[in-house]
Amino acid sequence: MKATSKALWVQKNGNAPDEYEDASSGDTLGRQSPRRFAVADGATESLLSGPWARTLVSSFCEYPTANIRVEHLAYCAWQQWKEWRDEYLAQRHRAGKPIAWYEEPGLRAGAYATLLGLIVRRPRQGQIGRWKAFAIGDSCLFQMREGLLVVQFPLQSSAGFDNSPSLICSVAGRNETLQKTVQVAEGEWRIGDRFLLMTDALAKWFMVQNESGHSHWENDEVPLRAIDQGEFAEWVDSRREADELRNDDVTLLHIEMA
Amino acid sequence: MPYEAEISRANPTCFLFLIDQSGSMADSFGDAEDARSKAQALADDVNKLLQNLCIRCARAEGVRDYFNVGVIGFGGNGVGPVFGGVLAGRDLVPISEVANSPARIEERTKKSDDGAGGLVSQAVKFPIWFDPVAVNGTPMCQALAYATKVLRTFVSDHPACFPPVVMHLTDGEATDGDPTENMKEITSVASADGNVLLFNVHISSRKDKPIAFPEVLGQLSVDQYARLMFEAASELTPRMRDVAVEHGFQLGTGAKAYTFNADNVLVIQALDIGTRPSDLR
Repeated sequence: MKATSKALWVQKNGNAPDEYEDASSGDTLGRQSPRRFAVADGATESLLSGPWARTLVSSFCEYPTANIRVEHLAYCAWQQWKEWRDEYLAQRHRAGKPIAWYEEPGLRAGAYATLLGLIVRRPRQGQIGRWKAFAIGDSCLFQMREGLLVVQFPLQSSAGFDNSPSLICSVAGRNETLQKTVQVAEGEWRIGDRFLLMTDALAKWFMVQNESGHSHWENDEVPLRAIDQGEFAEWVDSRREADELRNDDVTLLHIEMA
Repeated sequence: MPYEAEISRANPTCFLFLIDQSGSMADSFGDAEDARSKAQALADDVNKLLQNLCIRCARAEGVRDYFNVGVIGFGGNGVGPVFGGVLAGRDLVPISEVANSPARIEERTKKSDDGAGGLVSQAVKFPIWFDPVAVNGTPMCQALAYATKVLRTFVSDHPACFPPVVMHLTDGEATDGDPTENMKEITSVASADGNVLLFNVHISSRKDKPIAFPEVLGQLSVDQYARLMFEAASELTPRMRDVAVEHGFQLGTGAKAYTFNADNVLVIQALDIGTRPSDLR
């Protein structure tokens, strides 16, 4: 099994690249099977949501077994987060920029982000390859086969996006309902399939295109084609200018199965 | 469609608070458990809201200037900005400057759930930007004219902004004339995204049941002053109605940014509904 992944992203128009608050990650352990991929979308109104989104995708990709228990995953992420946060606070202290009064409530409240994770398994002998996905919130997975949309997950229509998706919090005690909110999907994949993992703005755009009759996609069309980062940024700009794509951080993790 | 402009650092919006500082504001809301004067309660509410706006705009690199904020007082001492400390005399101030320049920071005690059926007291920082004032006289017309001038300058500098929101908080009638025309004028100020949104938040010391965001005036239509304030208030935008739903209100599409006989809880709800108009980008 060969799964080639490419992460493409663009920050909100008007923001600096280091203000991008989504994250994506391909398998960091170099495993052959199962392979893991994840995207996360940090909530703009929470403090340090970009670093928290990065912590979540890396925790997903480094989770010790393929049998993911989401509450335990959140706990593992929180352990990583504590280290990052302590270092961040120490750095601020060293730089002579102590935490201001208006940052304290945000730090206490914690950072929030969505998470969408995908595990792809190599086919066992004589069998077909399988995948399993986990979602908290509105980052979406699309499975494409021969230009057609085979699966979309977890939302089933563009009307499903709202302003209050489920989120994972960096404060351990605030994730008690995760087991109820996590959504899980499973399926089969074939050679040549593409998995597209997107954060909400792009996912909504893609659903709207499909719903309005664009049902067959060519492999040289965005988002099916793994273009380079500069070309992707130009494409995002053009869709924003056409008022088709909301001005939000945009992330596309493009995975091609071979 | 109006009221859809994004709020960003490149395209900030503005919130302007017009606060009644007349003599009657020295009375309490009439709540047996809260002895504060209306002036003190409103100052606490708006200082707390300014604090929340700063917190909403705080990011790792500092406070992002999504908003410009002003607080204009009107009472026996006249009409003008009420910020204390280094912001004194300023009409509209970017939120990052507001965050970094409270007149002082007090320590207050907050009671919260201890998780075991009891309450626990916790010391919290409470920044103060302005103090309450209550002196006879309600120069509402002058205050609205002053605010109109401030907003004209803002929209001329930010022609595509989400329209400024004016939170007009008062317990009485104007003593300097009929404010109808002034209210029409302030809501005629517009950006490319729509007209200024005027909240008329009438507050009261009476124990009468408050009326919140009505679509029609109903029995209040006999009260000439209530009618004036109701008619001049803007309609809530769809997004503001969504925020109102979070507060437990069920509102129709014509709901007005108007309250009558508001108690302090309703004042706080109105302030929240008025200052969460759109996503921050």
